Amino acid sequence: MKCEYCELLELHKNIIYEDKEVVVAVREMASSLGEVTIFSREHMTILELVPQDILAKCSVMANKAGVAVFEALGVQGTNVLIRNGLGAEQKVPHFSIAVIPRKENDGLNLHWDPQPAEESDIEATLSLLKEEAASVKEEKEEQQEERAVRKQKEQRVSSDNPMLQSLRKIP
Amino acid sequence: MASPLPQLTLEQQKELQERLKKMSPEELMEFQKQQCIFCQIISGKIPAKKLYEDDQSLIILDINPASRGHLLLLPKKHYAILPQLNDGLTSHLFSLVKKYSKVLLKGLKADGTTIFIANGLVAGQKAQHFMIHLIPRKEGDSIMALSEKGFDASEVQKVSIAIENKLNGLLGMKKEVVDDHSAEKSPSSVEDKKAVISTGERSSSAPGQKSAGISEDSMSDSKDSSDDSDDSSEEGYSSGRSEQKKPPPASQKKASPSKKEKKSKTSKKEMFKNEDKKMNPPQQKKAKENNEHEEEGDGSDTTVSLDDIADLFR
Repeated sequence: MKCEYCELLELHKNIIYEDKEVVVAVREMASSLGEVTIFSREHMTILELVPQDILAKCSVMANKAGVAVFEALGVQGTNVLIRNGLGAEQKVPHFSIAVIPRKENDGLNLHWDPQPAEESDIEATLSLLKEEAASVKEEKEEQQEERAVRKQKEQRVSSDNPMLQSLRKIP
Repeated sequence: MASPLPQLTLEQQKELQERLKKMSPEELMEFQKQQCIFCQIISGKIPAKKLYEDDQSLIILDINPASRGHLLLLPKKHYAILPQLNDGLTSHLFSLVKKYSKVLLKGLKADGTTIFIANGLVAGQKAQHFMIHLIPRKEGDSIMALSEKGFDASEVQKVSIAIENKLNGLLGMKKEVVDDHSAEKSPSSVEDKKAVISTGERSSSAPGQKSAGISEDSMSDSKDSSDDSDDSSEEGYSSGRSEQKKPPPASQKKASPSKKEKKSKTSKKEMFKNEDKKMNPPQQKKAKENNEHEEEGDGSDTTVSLDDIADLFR
């Protein structure tokens, strides 16, 4: 099955902005009229897979889209929402940020009931997450190195001269 | 001034409002900061479960979590809503979102994370301090059952054009997409002027941009411009949605700076005060338009209206 966002991009449907990395669309399927979807041009499923620079562009674009929504629709509020993963109601397997225009009594359910937590539980969660954060940091650095290596490779391939490329075709 | 203000009599409230009116914007910011519980957490006056801290931001565990591990990511500086943040800070916060979303997924074996921002009371914003919620999710936990539906294509088209024009303006692209119908009704001189600008800009500064495939005819023909002021081009952004709202009167162009400032305050206030939603629409729109360029700058414009602050004491 084709990814809905990739398809929008292919058909150039509902798209109000696009560049090499970021696409902005106003889709018909939405929680509220004028909901803006910001997604990466490249197909990446979840937030964790989006490279830092592209994520930065997406977030800045989401911010600007929010301002545009405020001004263009005269709404009284917006929600910025990333549904990251199936457990978080992500519907399209392609990373996106939603900017949802809000009006009073629009009936959108973005609420949660606070879960009472014991002090000791919170402490335990805190130390668990601190530990996890320390290990993720190292991984992140690894990933960055990987990405740097990948880029270098890509550059090398693209800068290969035609002679070399034709050589490769020879069995 | 720094002391917490529990219950105020009417007289005290009046006195306070008077005092607030005399304050400079800087003083107002400072005052608001002192009333903000999250600013007090950041300055260490109120204890909190801090997970991460750097010079710009702080991550704490929510004491009323939607689920175990619910995190709040805060900029250290006091902002009320996302549009006030500049690009650098926005990017920085989202890089932390990415990292800590992963921490939640792995550390708590969550099935997903919800990253949530509320701008304005109607959007469910509860604190005056801008924050990003990171909520670890489990299948079937019934947090945020947000429904979607299919909206009418022509309606979507209409709002999409309005948003696109605003967004283009914010991105500094002087290009306008016009709905076929509204193009007939909108004042053409303004559009013609814009056409001149846009064709030049498109080729130089924004090569990758495309329009949404909607008629650009109105932009390409005549090049005579009847109005030379910068304001007129700004006004042009509104003509695309002239079907929905009446275009602003011509006198709008000549608004004095002080008037503008006043109006921009009005529009910010409006996000927080739902009681104020009855404000008459054309005026509201003007306020928003004037606000546009201030917002787009570095985003550090943190003008706060008196009513915002007064709201804190209700």
